[in-house]
Amino acid sequence: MTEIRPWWTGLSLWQRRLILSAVLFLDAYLGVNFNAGVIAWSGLFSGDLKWMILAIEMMASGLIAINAFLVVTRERWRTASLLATPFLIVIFGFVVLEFLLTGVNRSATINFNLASVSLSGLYWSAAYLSVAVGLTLTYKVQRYSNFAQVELLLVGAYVALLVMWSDRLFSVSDAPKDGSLEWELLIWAGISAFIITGLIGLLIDRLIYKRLRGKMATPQVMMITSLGVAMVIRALLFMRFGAGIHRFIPDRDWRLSTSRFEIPTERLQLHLGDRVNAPLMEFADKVSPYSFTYTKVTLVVGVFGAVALLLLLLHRTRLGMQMRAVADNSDLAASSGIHVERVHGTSAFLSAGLAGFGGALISMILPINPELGITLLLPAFAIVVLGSVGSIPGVIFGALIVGFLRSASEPILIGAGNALDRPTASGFAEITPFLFMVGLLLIAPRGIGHAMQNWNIERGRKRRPADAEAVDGTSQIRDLPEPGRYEPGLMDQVAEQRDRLFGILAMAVSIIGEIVRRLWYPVTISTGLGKQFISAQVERRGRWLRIDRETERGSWIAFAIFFLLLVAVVWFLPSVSNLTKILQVARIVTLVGIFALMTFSLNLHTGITGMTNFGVIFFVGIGAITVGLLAAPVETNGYGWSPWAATAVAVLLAAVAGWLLAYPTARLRADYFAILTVSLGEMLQIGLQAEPLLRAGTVTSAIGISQYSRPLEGWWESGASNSVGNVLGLPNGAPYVFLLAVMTVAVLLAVWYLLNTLLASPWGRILRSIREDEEVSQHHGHNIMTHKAASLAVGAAIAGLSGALWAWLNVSIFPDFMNPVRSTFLVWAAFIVGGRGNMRGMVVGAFLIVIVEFVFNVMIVARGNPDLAFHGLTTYLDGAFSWIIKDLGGLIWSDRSISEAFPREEIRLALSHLKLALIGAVIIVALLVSPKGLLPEVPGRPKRPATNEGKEEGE
Amino acid sequence: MATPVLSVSDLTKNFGGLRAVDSVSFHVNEGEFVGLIGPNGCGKSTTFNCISGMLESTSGTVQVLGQNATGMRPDQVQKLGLTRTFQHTRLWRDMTVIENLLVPPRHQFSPNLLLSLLRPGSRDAEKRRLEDAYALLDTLEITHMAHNLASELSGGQSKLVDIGRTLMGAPRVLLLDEPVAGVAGPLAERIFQFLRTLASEQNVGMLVIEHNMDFILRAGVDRIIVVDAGRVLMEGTPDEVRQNQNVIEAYLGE
Repeated sequence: MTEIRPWWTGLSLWQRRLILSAVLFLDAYLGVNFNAGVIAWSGLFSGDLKWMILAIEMMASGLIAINAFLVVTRERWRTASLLATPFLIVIFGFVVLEFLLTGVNRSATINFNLASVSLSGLYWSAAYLSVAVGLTLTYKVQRYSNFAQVELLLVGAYVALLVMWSDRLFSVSDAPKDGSLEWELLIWAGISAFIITGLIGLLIDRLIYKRLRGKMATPQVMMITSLGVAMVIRALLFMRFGAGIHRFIPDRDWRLSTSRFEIPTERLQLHLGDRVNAPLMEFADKVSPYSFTYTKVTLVVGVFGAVALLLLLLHRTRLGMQMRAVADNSDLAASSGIHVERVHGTSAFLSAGLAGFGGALISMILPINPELGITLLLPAFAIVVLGSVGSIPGVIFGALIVGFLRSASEPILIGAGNALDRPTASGFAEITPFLFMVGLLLIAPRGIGHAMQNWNIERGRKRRPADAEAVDGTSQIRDLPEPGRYEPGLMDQVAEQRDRLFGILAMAVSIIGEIVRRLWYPVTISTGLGKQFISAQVERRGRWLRIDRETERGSWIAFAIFFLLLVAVVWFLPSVSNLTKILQVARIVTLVGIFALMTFSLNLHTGITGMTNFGVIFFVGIGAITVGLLAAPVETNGYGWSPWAATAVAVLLAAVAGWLLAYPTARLRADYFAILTVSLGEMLQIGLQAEPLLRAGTVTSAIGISQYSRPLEGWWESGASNSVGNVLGLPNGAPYVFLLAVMTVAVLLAVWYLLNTLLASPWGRILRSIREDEEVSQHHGHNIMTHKAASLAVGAAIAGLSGALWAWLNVSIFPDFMNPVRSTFLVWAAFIVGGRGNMRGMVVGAFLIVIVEFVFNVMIVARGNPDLAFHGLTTYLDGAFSWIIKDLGGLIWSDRSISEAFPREEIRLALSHLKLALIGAVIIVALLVSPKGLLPEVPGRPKRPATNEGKEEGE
Repeated sequence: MATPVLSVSDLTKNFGGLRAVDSVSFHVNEGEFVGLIGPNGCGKSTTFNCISGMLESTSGTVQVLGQNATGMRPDQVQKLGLTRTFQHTRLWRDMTVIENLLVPPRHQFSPNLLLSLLRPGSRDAEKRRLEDAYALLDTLEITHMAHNLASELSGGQSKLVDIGRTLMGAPRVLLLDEPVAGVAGPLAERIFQFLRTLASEQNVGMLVIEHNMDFILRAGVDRIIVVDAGRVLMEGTPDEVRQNQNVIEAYLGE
């Protein structure tokens, strides 16, 4: 043993990885074929779970091997090997499948209909490309990842629908059913979608992003703002067009057989696993021709044509040159006479317009509803990451890879799924692009495009060897230093005096501030908190009060005020009876606790450590699903554990997931990390839908997890409930939610205290330094990888705990609960509004979001009953909405477009979407007006120990 | 016989086909104040990046206090006793000055979560760190800014905090990338004065990048290394460098 250690550390990186890979592969191989190895001997896993873990182990060994291969290839071959990695991953995937199937004695037949795979790959590429190209353009010129890109695409789709429904321009409903295409309609729809969406994009840019640019906002802030924009657009579309599915059909006969190509095709059959008398690969006999509709042709030609035009524009026109100049260095572009804001506007118009145009074409193929968003956005992000952000040829390449991957993965998943008793496995086709992206990011964190870029630079260098120094890696241009001696001149003396003066001034300001604060504090206490709140509102912009909120004491006072205000809202929230009031309050308290825990987790990840985590729900989901599965009865596919043990395992599992996530992602750029985490949440949601192992509680074929036991439920029902019910004046005992509320508050306070202790320690300081500039932290001796991993693990554990509470509150777990619009994005709103980096702010933000939710719930209930509070408000809102849609909007759109969206002629405001629009708007406004939130972060100001007996937290 | 705290031998760095640093060798002794000069783009900063582990060098070795530091991560190199600064001062902007100083010290029960929960034992250590930090601020004469955010500092003050921050990590070798760039004359003088005393009194080996030849000549360095086009052009005392014809040519491009 003593000799192994030096030997191991003496090996180089790739040798270590190769050995690790070999060990993992051997272990997995033994496990699959001979029921031996670590996984089998540990006895922890059985059945399907065992082979699944073995497959993951084997795949991991493959990824590590490919990574070792990348490490060992010298610079000369690195580009080629990077470009080869996608294919290596796919090939290794097949190898794993083969070993796995042989091991479990199954055989799978995979049918590739060649024409179908390649042509549908092409149209998926086109669909994803229409989103990805706008994303890239925005990234290139405006330097942020736009999460609202798909919503712009949807706007384009709905514009096309409005054009189709408009009786004034075209009467499609009366068109003769003769199989002829309405070219005119198609062209008008495409053009108006392009222009209107483009104008909307321009408007958003002028109203929001221009101001952010003016404030020198970081790309991270712009990205979060785009999340708010996406929420608002989405909610508006929901309110106008409803959740119904629509399709843009430029002619009644569009989908008849006359409008299709018949394409002869071949069927390639792969036999994997236990094949008896069958070759690995063969061409099947009977093949019917594949028919490809004109709509798909239009999409492919339209999108690729538009992108080609964009490329021409960028590389052959003056405007394009200006755009590229701004993309390269906007300050330099401005100083050489380019109107930078105009270029930003053009870029916003073009990227939105292209999305809109794509949307009009996509709406002929995919059924359109406002939920479409994330299913298109994430693959588009995968493409952008693959093609390395900012390169349009890279994006085209990435779109082709992802499109074909998606179309080819469907037959593979069906074949392998059938063999492994998973007929629903094709649901995973939607997430193969992300899975692929995750795999690729694990082994080549900088994307393939980076390799392509390097290759381009090298090529450029070889072409013009004389200018080699101009592309010097040190990015400095040779110039000669000025000769002559340095004499401190007048300006230096002025600067010196200024420094001194500034110091004196700063001291004076802080002394005066301190005096004012000390005088002010007892005064406000004596005149009452109400007055203080008013003065806080009035003096919000006053400098001295703002300073106050950034001290410990001021922050606590502000917290108390906001908290009491929100409690008052809960107090006055209408309710029918004593029981419902108690139910309502208990539910609010529990939800506030759950949301506050989620925001704590987000705050640790994003607010303190600076990693933009858009996948809060991923960790929450791990917690909820684990608790549910483990505590569900054995008879219905559960494991029958006690809820306590289940919770412990759930928290631990979430922490491990967080820890593991750190290593491949630590070097990723902020937006890659955001995309990766949001994808993880999406993957878990689809897994919950399609994977039988993640079902329990009811018949195994149903989706979701239910009937799991909850903590202390038996004890509560067998007596405690009644005694508490007596105290509260309830006839039938207190509901379980009451107990849950008490437990949640206890958990919340405990976590709050522990986390505060942690963050007040040097560790919190180090994390914040990582947020500010991780490279510098590393140069001051901190291993950022370990710190990030620890931060991710702790945050994930907290999120897992909130997931457990969530599962107990909701009694059952359905995939829908992981919809980011209803979870992660709300948590983000709470985080932004509450105040990044401030734990008290997190509680206030979470409280606010939950209250908004409940106010809207009360409003929805009040709609049908004139006796209830808020009935008047709801009726008024419905009336106003109806006026907007019918009378105001009627000037623009046709009656038919109204009746399509509101089938029974009753125009009602979708209040739940109004709520989401408001929350989105709040995110945007908060970032524009007060980016620090209601309770800004309180910087650590430890005093000199000698003057103050070791008190650590002063002001 | 002075002991070398930093020795670099045959360090080479290629960017694709371009050789930015070309088998550079030099050493810095204990308590020695060495200047590294050369025109822009000659590979000074790249040399720093390779030594501190920010960039992976193509070939060559780096030794810090006699231990091999080649191919290590920046944090590992720092733990060996070498700290560097960046050309553009990069403070942790949304943290206070005092917090900036408190981040670097070692043995803050670093990544271990459980240990940081055990507060009692760490109290004294924290108190000592605070005392050190305030003492350092006194020396640098910026104590009055201790509770200000780093983003509120002026350029000169930022440079001072940056130097103070590196010292909190108790380095034995200090690599400073243009420590007085953009700093007013008198303050620049003071910074060099401070560095000189630090080198001689606390035996810290110091390597300072400066591209203004006159500055470095007046800073009172013990030795100067002149780099041009990725190579060491010459090495010697300030007087020798001043008189060397090659240096004048490379520097003035005549």
